[in-house]
Amino acid sequence: MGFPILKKEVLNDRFYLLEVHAPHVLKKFKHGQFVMILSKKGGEIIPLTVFNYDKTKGSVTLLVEVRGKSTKELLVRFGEGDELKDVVGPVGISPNLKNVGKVLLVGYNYGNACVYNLGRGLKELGNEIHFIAGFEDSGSSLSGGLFADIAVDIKVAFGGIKKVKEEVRDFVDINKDTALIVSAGIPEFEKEIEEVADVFEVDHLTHASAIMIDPIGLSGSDKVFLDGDVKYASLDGPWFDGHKLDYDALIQRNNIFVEYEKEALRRFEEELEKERKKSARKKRI
Amino acid sequence: MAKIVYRRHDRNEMPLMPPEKRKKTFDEYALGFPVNVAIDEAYRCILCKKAPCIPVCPAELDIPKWIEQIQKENMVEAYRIIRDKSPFGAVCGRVCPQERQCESNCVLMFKDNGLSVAIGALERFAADTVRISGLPFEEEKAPETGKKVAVLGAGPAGLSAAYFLAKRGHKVVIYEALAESGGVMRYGIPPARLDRKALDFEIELIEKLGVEIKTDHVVGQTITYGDLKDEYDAIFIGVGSGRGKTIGVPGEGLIGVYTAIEFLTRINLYEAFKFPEEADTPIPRGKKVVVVGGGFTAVDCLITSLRLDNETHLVYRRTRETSSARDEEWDHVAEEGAILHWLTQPVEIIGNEKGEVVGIKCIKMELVPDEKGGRPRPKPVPNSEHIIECDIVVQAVGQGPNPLAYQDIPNLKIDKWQNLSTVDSRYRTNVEGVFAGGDVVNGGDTVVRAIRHGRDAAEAIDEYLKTGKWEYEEE
Ligand SMILES: Cc1cc2nc3c(=O)[nH]c(=O)nc-3n(C[C@H](O)[C@H](O)[C@H](O)COP(=O)(O)OP(=O)(O)OC[C@H]3O[C@@H](n4cnc5c(N)ncnc54)[C@H](O)[C@@H]3O)c2cc1C
Ligand SMILES: Cc1cc2nc3c(=O)[nH]c(=O)nc-3n(C[C@H](O)[C@H](O)[C@H](O)COP(=O)(O)OP(=O)(O)OC[C@H]3O[C@@H](n4cnc5c(N)ncnc54)[C@H](O)[C@@H]3O)c2cc1C
Repeated sequence: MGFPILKKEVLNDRFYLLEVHAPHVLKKFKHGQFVMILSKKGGEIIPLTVFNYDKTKGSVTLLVEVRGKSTKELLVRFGEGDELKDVVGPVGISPNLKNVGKVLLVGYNYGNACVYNLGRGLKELGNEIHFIAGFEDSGSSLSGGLFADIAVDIKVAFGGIKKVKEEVRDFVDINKDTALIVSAGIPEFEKEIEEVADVFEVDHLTHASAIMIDPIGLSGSDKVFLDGDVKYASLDGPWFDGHKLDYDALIQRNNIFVEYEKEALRRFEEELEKERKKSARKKRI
Repeated sequence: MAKIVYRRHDRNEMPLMPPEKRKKTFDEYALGFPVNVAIDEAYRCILCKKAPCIPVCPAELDIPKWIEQIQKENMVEAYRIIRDKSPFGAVCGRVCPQERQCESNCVLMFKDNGLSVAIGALERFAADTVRISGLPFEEEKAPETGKKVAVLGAGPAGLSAAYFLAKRGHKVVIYEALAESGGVMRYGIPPARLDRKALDFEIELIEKLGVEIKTDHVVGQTITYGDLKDEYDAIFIGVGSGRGKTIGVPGEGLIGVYTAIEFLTRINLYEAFKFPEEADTPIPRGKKVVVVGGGFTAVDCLITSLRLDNETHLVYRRTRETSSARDEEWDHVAEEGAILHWLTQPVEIIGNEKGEVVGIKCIKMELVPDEKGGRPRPKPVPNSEHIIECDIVVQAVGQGPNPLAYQDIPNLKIDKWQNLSTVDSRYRTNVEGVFAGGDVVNGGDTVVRAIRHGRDAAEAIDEYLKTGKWEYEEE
């Protein structure tokens, strides 16, 4: 018994939305938690934030960035009516949120999904939410409308990490009363945001995208380091104090399988290319 | 009356794949008895009336009773008798350390250095024959009682509890966090030692009794004690104690350092050995691997690593004789090319500027008698530091508690290891309606003991469901 895809919406070459029927995830769901999905037997289990949900339909919506084989395969091989083999969750801890006043959410690529969901929780507590949605380039950036309902203002920023960082600096420079920055994306990005948070002495909550292969912390693959302490992103996180997270260690650990991941993606793209050629030939006949 | 023939010395050995062949495949390397051999072996058993093998089996199977059925070539009946006590004959026939259990106390051994009946091989034979023959195999269960029991964790303890509860007519739902059921039998023990067809068959038989297994359900997250308490008449906690431990030396964060559980889970649960053709979960191959440890888990990491074309080393701070794995297993991995460094203790994992493992620094140990009369203690040999070059370090130094499923149960007595050794002789916790068994209680033991806990707990649960009596025995 799998989990049917109710709706798939391709946003651009890099992002898509996937609405999946998984009511069990929602009974206890709290903002900031995520699910782990395994699309098929032999697939790779990957963590994805619950971007949005609909309790009456029992569905969760995922905002997915195409990065490697698994996220690409989901895009090209799975559509409405297909089933995902496994959806586990919720996983992770919803951080202890409070009303602190002015909050800046800043995401980078898939990280926008992560901050958005947590931001919803922050908004419900009465915080004033500002949102900087960061993207690598203009071609892949999403419309601010996707995140607008929780924010008093939203700015879409693109042009790489440094560019988004400048936007964040400008924001906190002008908004001296910013009480909290929430950031998510690859750790290379979060590290830069921490620099700003540190300089301006603003609290920083960040998202540790560690490699996870099980939802109960059996394997310890998702080890992260915080001021000398060892924590596990699936059990203790994924949200941690941005002033304490060891970004370099996380970057290092995220690269453990890069060569293998590239190989998997290359093979998959080759396979797709072959299929394209074959169907092009068929068309000609 | 016919005279009993004691065939003390002609034990049949299980055929194995030759080392060169077996290290190239994840298929099972112990091939099982052919029919004629199994029957011959069964006839070595003299069918003791008071069989000494029974009390040393943690599940106390009626061993002579089912071996007699093998003698009569009635495998279905043999398997049925096994299943009166354990739903995992095919598994236990393969993975039990029989030489320390049933096969340590066979009457044939009592004289002339006799050799035990190959009980494990016969158990496996009976179960496999039923599976492979496809003979119809139905199990009876009591009429429905209308009672519902939640079982947390689909490892051997939970599955065994579910089986015996279902046979008593109770409705059982198992909640399992992972994508597949089986617990360590699935994600820990490699297919080279435990054929997944055998495991699947025995789990399916449990499901056939009406047990529902809900995978992808993390207890403590997807569903909590509060919900379960309202929906079920009793709860059995069988979540194991399976979090991979680390060795506690500098360098554990380096690229290439794994816990045994991560290493094995990638391969056994997500089939990383089929990467990239048929699986997407990666695992390095063709490297130099050092496994640290000396138990079941270390052996399984060696077996697995060798099959990935890795140059494979073991370092263990004690000796082979004082390790907890089986002698035979060390022989097997050595034949397959593993390099075993006894009396060797890691002190640091060494990395390069990119943060990748390049070696493991170790010291030599010697065993000195324990002043208190315990097992000899390893003591460092001065100036014995040396480095074993490697790319990967696998830490097989035990597993720790995983209290996610029960940490939110109000007033539950949890021991100082975060486990539930606080249960009483009937597997009751101090919270009414909540039972526990398997590794979550004893911190890490064997499949067969988990099965026994599940069976005894099922009996206690049944009694509770019938009488409503709850008398937790305080220590
Ligand atoms: C808590 C959490 C929430 C996340 N939420 C989202 C989200 O809402 N939307 C989204 O698009 N992405 C999200 N991600 C990131 C997403 O999990 C990765 O992009 C995905 O695993 C990449 O898989 P791939 O096969 O496509 O790419 P690959 O080529 O396999 O991997 C690309 C990179 O992704 C990371 N990665 C690979 N495997 C895993 C894994 N099992 N666990 C974690 N990271 C991995 C590694 O850094 C790797 O280098 C989240 C990650 C975490 C940890
Ligand atoms: C690598 C390895 C090799 C071994 N080899 C042998 C051997 O050859 N012979 C032998 O007899 N013993 C062996 N053992 C020991 C044996 O496997 C264990 O003693 C036995 O599996 C314990 O059974 P269990 O049911 O208590 O726990 P487990 O087998 O650990 O099963 C517990 C289950 O609960 C699930 N779970 C945990 N938390 C949650 C949660 N919050 N919500 C839902 N589900 C949850 C887990 O995913 C798991 O499936 C080995 C152990 C290891 C690690």
